[in-house]
Amino acid sequence: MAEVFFRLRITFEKGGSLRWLSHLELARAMERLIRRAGLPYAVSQGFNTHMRFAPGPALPVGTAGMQELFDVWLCEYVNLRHALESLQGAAPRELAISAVGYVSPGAKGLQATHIYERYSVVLRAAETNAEDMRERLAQVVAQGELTVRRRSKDKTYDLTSAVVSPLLVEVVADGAADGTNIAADAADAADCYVVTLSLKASESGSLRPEYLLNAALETFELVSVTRSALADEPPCPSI
Amino acid sequence: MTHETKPGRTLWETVAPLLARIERPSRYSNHEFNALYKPEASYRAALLYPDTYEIGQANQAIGILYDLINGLDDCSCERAFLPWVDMLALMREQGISLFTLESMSPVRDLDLFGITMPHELAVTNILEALDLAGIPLHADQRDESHPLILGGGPGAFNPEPMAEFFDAIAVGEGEEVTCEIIDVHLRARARNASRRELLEALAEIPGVYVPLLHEEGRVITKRVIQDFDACPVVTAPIVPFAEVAHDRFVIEVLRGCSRGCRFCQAGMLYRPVRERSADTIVKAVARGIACTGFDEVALSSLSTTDHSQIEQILRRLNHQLSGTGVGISLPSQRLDAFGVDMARLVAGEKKAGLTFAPEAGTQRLRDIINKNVTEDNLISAVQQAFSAGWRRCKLYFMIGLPGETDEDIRAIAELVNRAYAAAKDAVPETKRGQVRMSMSVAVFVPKVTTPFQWVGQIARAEIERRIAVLRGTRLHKGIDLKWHDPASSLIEAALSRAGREAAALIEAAWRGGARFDAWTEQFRLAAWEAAAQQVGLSLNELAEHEYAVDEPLPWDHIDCGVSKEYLRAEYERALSAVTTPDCSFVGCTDCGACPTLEASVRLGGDSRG
Repeated sequence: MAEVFFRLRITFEKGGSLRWLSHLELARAMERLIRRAGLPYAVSQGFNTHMRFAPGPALPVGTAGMQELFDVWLCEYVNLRHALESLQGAAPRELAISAVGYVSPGAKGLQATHIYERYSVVLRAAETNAEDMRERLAQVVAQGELTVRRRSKDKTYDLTSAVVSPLLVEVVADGAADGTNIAADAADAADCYVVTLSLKASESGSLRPEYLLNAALETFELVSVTRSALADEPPCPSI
Repeated sequence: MTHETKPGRTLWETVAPLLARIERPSRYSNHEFNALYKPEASYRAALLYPDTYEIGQANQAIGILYDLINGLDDCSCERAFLPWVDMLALMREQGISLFTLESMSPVRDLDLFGITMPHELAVTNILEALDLAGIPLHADQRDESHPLILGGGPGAFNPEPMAEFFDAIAVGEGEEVTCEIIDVHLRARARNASRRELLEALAEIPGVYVPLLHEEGRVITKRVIQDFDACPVVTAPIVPFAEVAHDRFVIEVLRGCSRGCRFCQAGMLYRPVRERSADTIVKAVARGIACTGFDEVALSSLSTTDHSQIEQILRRLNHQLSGTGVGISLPSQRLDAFGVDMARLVAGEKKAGLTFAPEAGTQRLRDIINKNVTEDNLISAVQQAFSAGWRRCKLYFMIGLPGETDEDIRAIAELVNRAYAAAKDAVPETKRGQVRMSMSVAVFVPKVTTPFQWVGQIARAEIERRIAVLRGTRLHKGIDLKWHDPASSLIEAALSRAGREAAALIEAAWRGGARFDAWTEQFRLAAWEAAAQQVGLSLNELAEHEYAVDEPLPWDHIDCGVSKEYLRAEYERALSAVTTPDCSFVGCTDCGACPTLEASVRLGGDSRG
């Protein structure tokens, strides 16, 4: 008889100083916290036995995530409330577990389904305003493509498919935006802005919101980049 | 307190933007699971391993003392590591001083700054750390406003080259003496004692060396834990986010090794042998995995397969961990059939690679160094391992050992060729292409408190010539030959047996830019050569210096328990290629450690062997 598995999807937040973890470091931290939580995780068979899990779409080092996803296969059904509490008790500070739920064990992987990413970017910039910034960003998007040089290689992104929402730009006062404590710097004349947008990940490499900003603005100080949500369908067009 | 940060910003907010500009930012993240926070404590300590996070976080001594100090009333202990060169440069540029990970406090604001003295290639990192912390390098330049700078670790057994940079150095095992030092410090603080009075009180503690107050004739005897089995295991160690060396749950199954290899400092420093019992180990592993979530447990020691209950331990752990995906690792393999049997017990389907250390190519030279293994031991261990499914094996050797001839060097190649042939024969014909053997060759560095402490390192040109002899031998194509850099061995040898005169050399090398000397890409021999010239010393002379057996030695005031007479007798036995057995198997060989240290060999089971 085939073994029955239960696929638990964990929603968590990668924030604070842990935004600096790499994808690999994050996956290892999740694996360890699942083991500490004492959940009956399934173990792969074969040469190198290990916990059966699948991380969600990678976040770049330095980018925070508010609703990140991670799947682990269990070999016994566990009451969801119990699973949530066990995971929360085993999580490091700054890696908060917010929700758990079951998904079909055979469902497609997170990296294939959850390709719509909502971002908010906090930056400081002088000599501009929200309207101007929005316009400049819109002009970049309107060009349809963007070529970025990374590690001395050029890569061209198709913006018509990658940018799936209008860009919102807001001025924020001092204090919290997306949980980052932006200290008011008396000497700093620059204003603080939050840019919000949705992007669609692509197998050939995903566009990062910073690339659009780099193309649109001459000088700015990037305060934080946060992926606020991951979804398996495009954002509602009315937003 | 954090006056170098902009007003209104915490140190984290100043540091965070720098993280986008450097490699591996997770080195500087705190909040790892099991990290401890006691911001309310009135006595605050920081422990530093003088290298990067991923090297230092693996250090077991720091983990033990971290747990211990945080367990004391009203005391906290935090960790600090040396930032990598990219972060160092940014911190220097922005005026950020060395900070602890947990609370991001400047180290110089704390009460105690404990620094590991791991090996010779870390000495410049210790000066870098002190300077980055804004603490005067020299003990005699510090006052009541500075933390107490405490050293410890293997480097404590020849403290003189680093003595003037430390206020106090704890010699030997730190579990008890660290608490005594903190107790004395707290009392001194309570009565508003001067720094001098504090140092005087510290010098009274057995095992504590206070270089500024040292008097001729005083001997500091190392501290040992008598009942190691009763010493608590740290079952909730910090779980790093960044990938570190030895990224797993580690349990020290025994302390000390008395096999008596004559080049090996650890084998003399940590006597006598004391084992944890099988019950203690098995229980601690269950707890350790539950508290950390690691997927591997390492049974650590200098000679794990010598544990009197090793087979029982491995069988019980296999049973306990079966079906969990948690693996067991044995860091060192005993070079015989039993060693391979034990490795098989834990390997399961995953037979990554085995490591053996024959050290020398001929029986005569192995007898000189008291490496009590034979060619038959090696060949049968290899046969057994490769027929059991292993496909890779690494062999360690040294060149430049006392008494070595060209014949011994050529014999290394012959031995490895025979081992390689035995490996191929033991593998089914279709799988022979997978057989890999690598040999790693290091240059012998004489160390203090060993029978070879009087001997100089062979001259640089002679090392090159001997390397050429080995290179001239014919090795099978499947054998991969690797070298340790002879230039960094020169620095190790120049410092390992030096006296206080080496302090000026170390300081000049550091001022000339030497740091991270253990990192091949950072090591700069030129900085050391320039420093030697500047202070009027010669690296070669220091490294090659031969001490007469009856002359006083710069480390005579440090007593590791093993008597100088025993070391001298062992040196003489080496010269006539006579071996000495392991006392934990056959009974006392009169090294002196047990009576001097008031300790004894303690086994978990009835006997070894």
